[in-house]
Amino acid sequence: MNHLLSILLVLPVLGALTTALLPRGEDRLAKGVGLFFSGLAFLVSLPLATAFEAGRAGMQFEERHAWIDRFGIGYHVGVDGLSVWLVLLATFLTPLCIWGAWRAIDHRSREFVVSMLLLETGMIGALVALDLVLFFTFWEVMLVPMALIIGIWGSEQRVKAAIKFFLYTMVGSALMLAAIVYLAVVHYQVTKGTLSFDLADLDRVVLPPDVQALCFWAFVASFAIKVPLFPVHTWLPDAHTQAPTPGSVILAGVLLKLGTYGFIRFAMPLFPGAAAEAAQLLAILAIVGIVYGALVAYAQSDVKRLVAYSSVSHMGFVVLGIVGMTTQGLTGATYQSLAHGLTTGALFLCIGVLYERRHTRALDAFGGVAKVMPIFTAVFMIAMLGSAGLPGLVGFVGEFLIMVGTFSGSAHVLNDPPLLVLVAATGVILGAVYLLHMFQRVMFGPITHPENEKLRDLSLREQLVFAPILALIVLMGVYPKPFLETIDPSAQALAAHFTHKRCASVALARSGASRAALADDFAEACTDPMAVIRAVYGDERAPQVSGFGPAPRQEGPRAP
Amino acid sequence: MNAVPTQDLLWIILAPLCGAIFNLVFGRLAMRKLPDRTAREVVHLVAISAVAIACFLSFSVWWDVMVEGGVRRLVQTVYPWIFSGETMIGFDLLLDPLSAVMILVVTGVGLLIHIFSVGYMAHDPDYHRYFAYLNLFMASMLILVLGKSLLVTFVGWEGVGLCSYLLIGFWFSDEAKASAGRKAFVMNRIGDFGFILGLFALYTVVHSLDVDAIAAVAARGAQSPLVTTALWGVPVATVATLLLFLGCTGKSAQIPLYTWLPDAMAGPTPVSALIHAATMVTAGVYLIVRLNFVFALAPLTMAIVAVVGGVTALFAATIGITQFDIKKVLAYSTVSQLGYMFLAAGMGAWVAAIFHLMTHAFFKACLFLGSGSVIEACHHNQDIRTMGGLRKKMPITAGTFFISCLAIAGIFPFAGFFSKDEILVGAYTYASEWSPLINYLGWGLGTVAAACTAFYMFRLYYLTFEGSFRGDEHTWTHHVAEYPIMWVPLVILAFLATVAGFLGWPHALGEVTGLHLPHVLERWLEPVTATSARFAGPYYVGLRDGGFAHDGHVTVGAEMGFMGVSLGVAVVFWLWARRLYGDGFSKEAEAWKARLGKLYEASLHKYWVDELYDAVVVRPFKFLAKLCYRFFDALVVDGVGVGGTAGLVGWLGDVVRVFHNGNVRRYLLALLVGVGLVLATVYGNPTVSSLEPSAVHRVQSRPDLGGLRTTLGAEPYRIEIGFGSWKKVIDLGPAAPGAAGGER
Amino acid sequence: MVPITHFLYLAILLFLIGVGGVLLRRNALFVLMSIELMLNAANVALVAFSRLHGNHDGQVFAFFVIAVAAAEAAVGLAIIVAIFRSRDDVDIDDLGLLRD
Repeated sequence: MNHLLSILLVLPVLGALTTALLPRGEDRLAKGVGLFFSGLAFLVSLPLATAFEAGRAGMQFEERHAWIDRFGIGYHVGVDGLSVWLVLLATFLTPLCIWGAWRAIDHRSREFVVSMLLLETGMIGALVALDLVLFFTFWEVMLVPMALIIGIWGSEQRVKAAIKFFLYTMVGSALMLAAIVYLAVVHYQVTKGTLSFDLADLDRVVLPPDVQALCFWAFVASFAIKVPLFPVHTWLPDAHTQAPTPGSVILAGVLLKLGTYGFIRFAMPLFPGAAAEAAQLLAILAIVGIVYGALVAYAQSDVKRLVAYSSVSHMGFVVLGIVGMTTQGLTGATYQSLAHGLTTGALFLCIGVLYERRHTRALDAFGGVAKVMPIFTAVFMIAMLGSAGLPGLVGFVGEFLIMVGTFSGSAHVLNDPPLLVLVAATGVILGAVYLLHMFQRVMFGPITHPENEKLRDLSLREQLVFAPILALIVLMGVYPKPFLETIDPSAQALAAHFTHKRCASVALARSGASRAALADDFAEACTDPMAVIRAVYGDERAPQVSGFGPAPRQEGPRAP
Repeated sequence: MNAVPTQDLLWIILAPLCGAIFNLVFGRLAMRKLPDRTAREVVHLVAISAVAIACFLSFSVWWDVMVEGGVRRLVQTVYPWIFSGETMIGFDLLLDPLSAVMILVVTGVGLLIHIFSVGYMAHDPDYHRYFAYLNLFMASMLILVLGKSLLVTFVGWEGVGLCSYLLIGFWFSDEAKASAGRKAFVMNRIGDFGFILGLFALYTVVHSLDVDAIAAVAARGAQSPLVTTALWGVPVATVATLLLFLGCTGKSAQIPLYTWLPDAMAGPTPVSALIHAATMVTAGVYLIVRLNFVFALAPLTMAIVAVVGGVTALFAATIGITQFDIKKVLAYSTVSQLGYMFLAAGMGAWVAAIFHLMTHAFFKACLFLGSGSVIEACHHNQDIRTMGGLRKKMPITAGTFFISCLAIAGIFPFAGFFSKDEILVGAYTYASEWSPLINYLGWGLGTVAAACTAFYMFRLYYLTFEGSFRGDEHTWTHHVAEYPIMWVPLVILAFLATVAGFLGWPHALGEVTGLHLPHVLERWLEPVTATSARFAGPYYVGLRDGGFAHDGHVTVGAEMGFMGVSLGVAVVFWLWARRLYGDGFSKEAEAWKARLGKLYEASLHKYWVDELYDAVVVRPFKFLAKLCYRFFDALVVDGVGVGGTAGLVGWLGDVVRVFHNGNVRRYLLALLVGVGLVLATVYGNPTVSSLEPSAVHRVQSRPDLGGLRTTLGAEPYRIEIGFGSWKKVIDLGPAAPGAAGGER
Repeated sequence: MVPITHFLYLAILLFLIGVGGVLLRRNALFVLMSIELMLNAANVALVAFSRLHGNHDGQVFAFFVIAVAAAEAAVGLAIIVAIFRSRDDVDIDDLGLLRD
């Protein structure tokens, strides 16, 4: 199955072509075809989970062809533990979204299905691409269908939201493209004439500090907007609120993850020196996002907006896990990405269910729904609790790993990580506050609006859409072993690689050279990377010391 | 150990879990499809048998393995739960003497309360949901108790919080009840925040959250890295225990996080008995005793625990005196009794804390269930001002209630007497850095609280069961009878409340009466407290010298003295309560009310703490949230930031538009001006205009896009641009060894 | 022999007359003729340089320019005639139909 990833990339495109050729007006048929192809893509992607070799860090299912050979641009795809589950999440959520939108999307279904399928290709492509130009291509490919989905099938303010989404994201990508080209040119120079955009090749380059910082921030500009990191998050509430349900689910479920995935795969390992310098700032932004997102979520009167802001809060945790650059943090960040995709996806589907029945998202319009929709209540509650990070459900595993990793092991890049975690952990309280607030306003209390008395409970189709998501929310919380087994080795390798390359970056800066070099040149200097880093930053930033000073002497006043 | 298959421990948890899942999934179906009576039979039979299985397994493991087999520790590895890097959290279960006591109490009391619920909830339409939650609670509580890793304990910890939330808000159509549930959950979450941070703090030193690993590190006493490493300038042990104690105050309703517990009485009464009296709220005490070796390393935390416990005990008791809601009185009583347990734990009297936890579970469950019977009988009226004389209608309930009152007030020989006495003695004699001040404080608070306890409990009893009925005629005549399914659990609990005290027969009483019973509980828990008992220096946990102690025991005379004081206080206040409330509200009671004036008001309004929290925490929080959203997000970030950027771009566009008016002749004019400027630049500049060829001064340009390789070829080249005195040199191409000085 | 600069001055003069015509005249016909003038100025320069370097490339290039100019004049005149027929006016300031 060496061509698995390529097949996975082609299948949705094929589906999109087929759908596009259908006659106009065949709505059900179009959705059926879309469901068929996305379902097929999901089935095809299953071997990624089953045949993936756990315990190995490197890329698997790798495939490499020449593409634009003249510029060293190749078609190079592959997955490792950090991306494989995200690919599966994308293939898992897309058919559910198309199925879930069976009734919600009632015009231009053909175009809708085409957009969804192209979006799927874009997402998978961005996750598996190992060539920077290829990655960038898919990164941009995602943008158009998503903007269309928001702009055509959204609610009242859809066009404004779509434009906002599009422009915000474009700003970042433009900077990233410049950095990619620059990096390739530098690689061309240091290797004396090899032009390549392959990640593995470019990863060998170590840039001098000032340029490294520029390139890092260029990448961060793109990824931080996608995450979204405070304060560039304001496109998200608008996009989420205006997007149709399947759009919101995909947006929250997969698209945001691409931002953090970009951090993990590109920004951090390519520019470790700059990343280490920027870690403190990014961590603070992440934490501000956690607290701020939660606070603002509480102030919302629109259910969907509330959940959108909760995304800002949750993704803050993911970023915190990444910038701490510990194995646990990276594993946790990846796991939390999956968790957020499932729980927030489920929450948006729940809100979609309510919206379909009442055509409003205002908190005030509900109340007492639990009485008339018992099955829905159970579903909503599990999704809500998963989102709140209740232990035993999916949200907790990631949050715990992120916090424990950052608290105990990230002193090599952060100042006083315990304090950072302390502030971040208030998100745990605030999460309960705004989620329970929402749940109570919608589900509990007496029925105040007569329209709510006759709401239908979930139909069989809706139950079937929810069932697999809820099953995963519980399963991944109770038994995360199969997932952690595959994520952990890659995270470990990445953390080690980061430290090693950061050492090379430090060594380069200390050598006084103003030009880029290859990381391999510093292999000898970096036999003990932590020693080099400690020599530069001082002992208190070495991870073993964990930011703790010597204990104050405790003088016992008396003996028994 | 061979005799018992090891999966027994897991099945103790799984049995109620399966019951919960069954009722959640099929309960609704059964309630809809089957005839009502049959459906209820199915639902409660499944639920009760699930708990009965857990109870049976607990007793069999305890008896066969621990008592008969002499095995003191059973460990069961289920599967690795969370792992990454060096972190390894196993889903492991541990049965040691401490968790054995807990599972026996939890499953035993839980079973009785399940049975009682059948009667209490008999007509509720959401019967299946109720029992499903109750079973889920049992499973969570057992996970909490049996978890070997603290993170597994945390799963149970949050799980019981969730069930508490669900059950308090069980009748969610009532906004107030749903809010009470939410309040409980949020306050518990504040505690959990401390709990999880405490775990992280421990983790940084131990690199594991396994209880045994922590014990091994803590066993080194003063040399332990828990003491020698500092976090924020304080030893890790202190930081960690303080954070963990924050978790305990949330879960066990101590100051400052106690206000959710009185509100939690919105739930069905059996729930109050099970969760908010007997089991869940004691989890904090359990946690401290479980980690006694870490707490013992943090004298500061111990002192704080003791003081908070003592103050809570008294504070809540003074509120309990004036309440009129039968369940509210019991709720404040629970807060107060939990305060006792923390007082004991903070004074290093671990065994006394667990002892009181156990006896309290019996008599408080009995009291709550009794109050449930009363409420059910009075058509869901909870106001004791409209009760009275109910003993004639429900003698068994009144009897068991009276016995439990004796127990909680600490009258010899009921259970509460022994456990409370042990706590007070422990408080007086505990050796600490802050002795003897803290001893006087602890003992004083405890004794005054004991007086209040006796007073408000008997006030409650007399106002409810004695005197004449003060409610309306209809309630009195249509009084609901006592059913066996409800009174049998009461009798069993009352029996336990009577005899449980003999598990902790004090040494001194043996000396005096000649009845030398062993202190069963102390011996039983000895392995658990052994580590901290070995500590020396400032971390020594034990009895203070000064004429009280010998041989690890308090001297007989001293102990008899303490017993006499507490018994005397209890009896005096019992009799006083009888005088004031023996037949309704007496004139004397009214006189006292007037005499106390403001104090009475304060107690009646619970010292306005809820209002204070509302003003200090809730409102500012809401305001902050609104401020963040309306001002910062909408105005600053989106308005000035994003809107500003968009506005700037738009404005620039408008400016540039002026030139792009489509008039070709104007374009041509601009072109001419431009050409003129370029020519002037070139010809006004000697560097460029002098056409002298030079070695470095070679500008290559081959507009060959495909030939990037050749353009950036091996040769270096340099571009110089100059204007007047300004000059810029750009080096392109691979690094030129000779031309390294150029600007980048 | 006439020095190169004379030819260049002539070319510049012609070019500037052309530019002036384009900028100042409002009749489309005059604008077109002025453009022809500018092209011819370029032709003069091309031929002059060609002669200076003794290379015939410039003269050949001038032929191309003449051919293109002829084609342009033909198309341009046709358009102007068409506009005149429909609007009775070829004032370029009034011809904003495509812009507005």
